[in-house]
Formats: sequence, structure tokens, C-alpha cells
Amino acid sequence: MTDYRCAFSLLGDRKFLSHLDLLTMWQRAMRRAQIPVGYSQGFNPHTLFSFGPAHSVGVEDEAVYFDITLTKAMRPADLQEKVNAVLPEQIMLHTVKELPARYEALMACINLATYEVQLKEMPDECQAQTRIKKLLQLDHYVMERITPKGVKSFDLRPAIHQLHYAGQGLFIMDILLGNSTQPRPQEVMAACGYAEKDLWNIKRSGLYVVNEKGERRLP
Amino acid sequence: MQEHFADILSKEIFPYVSKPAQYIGGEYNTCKKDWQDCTVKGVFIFPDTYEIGMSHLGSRILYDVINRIPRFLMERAYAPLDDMEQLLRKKGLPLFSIESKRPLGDFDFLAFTLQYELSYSNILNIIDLAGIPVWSAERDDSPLILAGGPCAYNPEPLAEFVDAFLIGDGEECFPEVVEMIEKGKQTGWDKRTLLRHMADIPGVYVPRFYEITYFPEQGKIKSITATDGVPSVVYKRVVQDMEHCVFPEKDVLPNMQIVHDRMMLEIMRGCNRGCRFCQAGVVYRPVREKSVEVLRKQAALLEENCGYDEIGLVSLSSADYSCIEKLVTGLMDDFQNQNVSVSLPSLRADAFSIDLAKKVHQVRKGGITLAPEAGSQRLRDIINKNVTEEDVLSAAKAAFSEGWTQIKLYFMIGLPGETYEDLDAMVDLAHKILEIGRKYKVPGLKKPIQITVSASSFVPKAQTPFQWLGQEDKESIGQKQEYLREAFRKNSKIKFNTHNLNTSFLEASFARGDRRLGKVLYRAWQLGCKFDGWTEFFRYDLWESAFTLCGISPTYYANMNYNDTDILPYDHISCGVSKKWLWQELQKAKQGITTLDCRQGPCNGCGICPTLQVDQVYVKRKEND
Repeated sequence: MTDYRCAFSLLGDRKFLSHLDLLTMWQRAMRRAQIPVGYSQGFNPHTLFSFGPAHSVGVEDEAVYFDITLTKAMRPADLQEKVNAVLPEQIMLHTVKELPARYEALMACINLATYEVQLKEMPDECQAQTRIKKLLQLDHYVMERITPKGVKSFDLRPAIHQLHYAGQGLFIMDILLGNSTQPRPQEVMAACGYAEKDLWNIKRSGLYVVNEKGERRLP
Repeated sequence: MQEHFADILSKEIFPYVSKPAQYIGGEYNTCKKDWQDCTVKGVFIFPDTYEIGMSHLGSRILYDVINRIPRFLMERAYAPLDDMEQLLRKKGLPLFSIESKRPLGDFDFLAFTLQYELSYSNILNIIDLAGIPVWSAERDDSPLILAGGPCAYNPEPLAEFVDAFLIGDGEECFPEVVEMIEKGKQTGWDKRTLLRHMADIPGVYVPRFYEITYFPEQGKIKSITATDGVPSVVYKRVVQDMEHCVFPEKDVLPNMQIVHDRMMLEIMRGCNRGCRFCQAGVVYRPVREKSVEVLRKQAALLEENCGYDEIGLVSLSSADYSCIEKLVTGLMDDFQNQNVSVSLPSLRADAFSIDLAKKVHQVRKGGITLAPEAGSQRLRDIINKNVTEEDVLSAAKAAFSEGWTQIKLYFMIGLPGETYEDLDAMVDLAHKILEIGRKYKVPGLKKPIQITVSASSFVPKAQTPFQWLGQEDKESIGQKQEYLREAFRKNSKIKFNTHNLNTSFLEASFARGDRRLGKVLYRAWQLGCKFDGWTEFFRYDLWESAFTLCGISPTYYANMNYNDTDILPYDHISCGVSKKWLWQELQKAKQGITTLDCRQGPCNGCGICPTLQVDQVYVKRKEND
């Protein structure tokens, strides 16, 4: 048994697939590519996939991570090539690496997500900068979210690790993933005064492991 | 322009609807062709949601049949959910195909599959969402509307909306129809000329060339006249050689979870058991089995191309397949250690079937379903369900002994000749099965025994021996439901379900209805009816208004009895089984005489083989040659 860490991207309309749909998609793709995926023991054997932070419907994604156990070792490049040959359009496996015998699980180590949000129309640069500055100056920013169970309040500010305007209508933000409610990029944008209808595209461009010193590395 | 439309969908529509994955297409194995290079372009439409439509085997087959021909293109569309429909209407955007995201109006034809009567309002809604007039007479340059499938055996309620119906196996007829459309485009035929040529293709029914007259008083049909030299009876098409006909090796894999998310391996077509209520058992005759070798090859191909981990064997009655044990063992050998499971829906209610289910380790999959259909032997003989109480009980015994704890029993109420004694017998049978469960349940299993009794209301269907009989009236069925509910109430181990009375009533009025129902359908759709098969959308009050506004009585259609001399609304459509034989079957039913499957006895004279010049195909017989 050998474990591999994989990451793939979902572009264009593929972003509308749900995390659950992707699980089935991957199980079938691995079969088509004839990858010797391991199965759990027991009465109801299931494939040994272990996903990292979930993909959100409607968000373009360049960083969906999963670990997988194979019954026979393969060269990561071979795995990647074989799988990419049988994936639906606009889905690409871009990272495959072999894991050591002991490693930290994806959900345990990943603690930061980077999002790129594109506005439909160019905002006034000055105004964008001021709005970001104002939000970042605050210690707390309480927001309400409507959930099936009712309205829920949460503090959005502590999870914003970084937020800046990159010009051309593009905002880039680093969101800390932790125990508290994780703000959605569109909620951060709303806190800056940009409504959901003003957004053209949201992309999760990366997932990282950040230590106390603020040094980041890929999972 | 086209890219612009697709872009609008991506940016302004998909983000704001529930389950957008059903509209985005781009599934693995999707057919993509260059629009400009194709001579004829069409859309295949399943008039229900993606989750249901993508589970339909016929759609998978026909998608492949047409797209295999390089110069033809056939994309897909499904009924949009309510939120999607509202958004499209609000933005003034048309419904689109999910492959190239083109408005449906850009195509040469739209082909609907007719699986159940309660999807008809969706068909009108989809045509309207495409921005096309729903009435055939009002369409000129817009896409041709085609339809086929089991409900096409009584196409009349849709006759004024659909331009041409394809009767029988679509593998045969559909490519010829598309070729005719191609010829029409090249020659510059107008719509009427094209349809007239199309009516010459065997299996194609073009309703506008058939004139119907009615008796003034009771309203029954006086005459059906073929005009313009079209055939007076349209016979269905049949694939004689199932083994060598087109077989889709690359299923389009759904973007999201669908109802039957597995490989569907069609092991045979047709069923000769001759249950007298069953339309499929008549219209899909004759039985044509595929050989074990071919099936094993096809399963391997599908697994390789799609990556399925479950093989569902599909047919009307899988345990009747001549070499079912050999097939199941073969498939399990082929996929040994590959974590591929085999499943067998539509099993008979007998111990042999349970044994098969055990063989494929179906036990862990939860419940098992047995369908005695009626409670007493007397009534089972009337409907020619050749299953005895002993069969059912031994099936139950085998199932409980093998570790099943949940058994679902299917019955119908309102069957011809049914009395309250038959209902009592149904209650008894359920209790006997519960007793068997208590006695034979595998010791130590934590799951409690649960019997579910599901009683649907009998709906007489076109082209069956019971087609001459009206449905029992609603009040009377309602009383029977109450009676049973009361009888089962005392026992918490038995759950009892029934079907909505109004749903079955509406289904009955359309199943044997005629052309005049078209305007009721139109009215109902205008009033807002859609997804009538869905409890949350079914608005019987609107249907009632529609019938009233049109001055048409639904009870006339649902409850009327026909005489043997009456012209039935669909007499000009034939599935090859003779009307005379169906009538004989009805007479035998009245006397409680059963008819054996012709593979177990002599030919019953149903007429299918000589009329359509086809043969039954049994693997065993072939192998013994």
C-alpha cells in the first residue's frame, strides 16, 4: 500500500459540480484509468480516498486535494498522465506526489485558503483600497448568514488573514480555516460593500499550511 | 452570439439555481460535434428531471444510435426544475441543450420520450420554454416535434402537439426519420411534404393524416380514416437481432447523483408471461435474449469505458432469462476481486429469484421486493399473474433465512373482478409473510422485520387485455384503501402505502384517452400544471378546472367500458399483438382461466410473430441447436 497526495482543478462550468458529485466522478475515473485503488476492509468495502477542504458549488477551484491509497506503487507522473487521459473536460489533476509512511492528514494540516474574486465592472481603485483598509482596521465584523436552520451570526474578521486589491477588478484574499465559521469569499466582498451580483467570478486558487511565523507551504 | 448565450447561462443563470450540475453538460463521454459539419441537429428530451432522465436506458441507447452517424448530431435536454424555469422566463431566455448550450429552437427536431402519461404537461412546458408554439398546426419553420416510447402506443392525447410518433424499437426507425429530415432540408420540402414522406417510413405515425370522427351522443369514435395514402395501420418496428444491433459502449456519465446510477446491461427485450394488466408485456414482444458471451463482452466494455462499480441487469423479468445463472456466475467471475457488484432488479416472487439475489450478495443492499399484485389466487388467475401463494411464501422464507429483514410487497387495488375477500386475502398474505419472518429471521440480526405493503390503483392501459375496461371509480377505490389501511393499522410491523387517487385517475383518463384530450392538456398546462407525477407539484384542482373549461368529463375516459365492436382511440397503431387475441384474453380473465407463457407451452396465438414476421430468441434454444 502506498499513499499519494493529489490536487486537481475545476474550471469553467465544472465549478458547478458538488463535492459529493466529485467523489463519484473520481471513483469512476480511477477505474477507467485502471489505477489500483485500495479498498477498506469490512462488510461494505469503500475506496480509500480522503479529501481535503471541500469544493464549494459555483467556485472555480485550482486546489481540490485528496489523498489516495494504492495497492501497488506507481510513479506519480504515470498516475497523473493515466488519470488525466480519462477525466471530463475542464477537470485536471495537476499535482501528484508520493507520501511518506507517516504524514499529516489533509484536514489536519491545511489551514489557509486563497481566493481570487473578479468584479464585473472595474471599481474605483481608491475606493477599493479604502474599503479594504477600513475592514482590516476592525477587530470584529459581525455578519449574518441565512442557513436552512435559521439566521446565524458570526464574526468574519478574525478569519481574514490577508486581503488586497490587485487591480483590474481583482481582489485576492487569504482566509484562515479553523474552528470558527469560515467566511465565504462573497461574504468578505459584501463586507467591503460589493454585492453578489457585482461579482463575475470566484476562484479558490490555493490551499496552504501556515505556521505561527506566517510561513506558508503547499500541503 | 452562441458563446455569448452560453456565457450568460454560466454567469447569470447557473449560479442562482439549485443543483446547477444538471444543466451544465460536459459529462464524460458526452458527444461533441462541430455544429457546422452536421446536416441534421436534434435534441433528445426526457420530459422529467435530469436525475430521472439520465437513468433511462432507452435514452442512452438512442443518443448513441443517432450520434454514431457522423453527420447527425443529437444533444440532450431535460425538464428544468421550477426555480430554473422561473429564472429563464424572468430573463426572457429560452431552454437550451446541455451539450452545446444552444436554444432548443436552433435545432431541426426535438424528440421526446413518452414514459408515463403524467409527464405530458412537462412536454408542453418544455416546447413553450423553447419559445416554440405548442400546437403542431402553428409551427412552420420551427423544429419538428417527434415522440416515441411506451405511451406512443396510445399517442392520441398528444396528436395535435407532436408532428410524428415513432412506434416500436427506436434503433430501427429513428435513423431513418433523421435521414428523411436531412433529405427534406436538402430538397427544400415544406413541413407538410416532409411529414407526408415520413409517414411512408414503417413505424412512423403522423397524426395529421388521420381523420377521426365521433358519434354525437355518447362520444365514442365513429371512424379513423387514413388520408393522403398513408397506411391505415402503423405497425411498430422491431429489432430482431438484439446481439448485433447498436449497443452504447460509452455511457454519458452523470454530473450528479441520479436515480439509477449504475451500468444498465439489457439482457433481453420483451416478456411473454402475459400478465393481463401489463402494457410492457404486450408492446415489447417478442422476447429476444442476448447471449451470455455477448453480454459479458458488453459489460467488460462498459466497465472499461465508464468505470462503473455496479452492473444492473435490465429486462422486464430477469429471472426468466434462459441462462440467468450462467450469466450471473460469468459476470461475477469476470469481475472477481474488482469490487464490481451485480444487481438484479425486477425479480419474480419465487425462491429461485431469491437464490439468484443471494448469489450476487444483494443481501446487504437492504430490502427485497416481491410483487404478487393480487391477494388471492382467484384474482391472480384473473390477471394471469402466474405466481402461487406457495411461490410467494417460499420466496419470503428464503429471503428471511438469507438475512433479509425488509420485504416490500406490491399489490394493485381496483383490479377487474376484485372483491373485499381479495382484499382480506391481501391482508392475510402480508401477515403470513410477517409470521414467516419471525420464524426464519437469522438470529442475532439487529434490524427489525419490516413489511411494506404498497398498493397502487389499477390503471387500464392501451393495448392490453384490460383496455376495454374502465378504472373502478375513485370513491370505490378510496373506500378499499381505507379498508386496507384500517386492517393494517393494528400491526406496527406492516407499513401500508397507497397511491394518490387523483393521480391514478388522471393517468387512467389519458391512458385510454383520445385526441379530444389535447385541449384539456393544453388548458391544464396553461393553468400551471407540470410535473404531475410529483406529489409536491400535482394540482388536481387545476386539472379539474381544465376539464370543466373544455366541457370534457374525465370520468368518461377513465371509467368507461368499451364493447368489442367499439373503435378504440388507438386502433390505427399496432404493436403486432392482435386485438382479437387481447379480447380473448379478456374473456378468459372473466372466467378465471390462465394463459401460460408460450415458452412453457404451445403458441397462444397472440399474433406477434406472424404479423411482424419476427421470431422469439432464446439463448438456450439456440445453444441446443
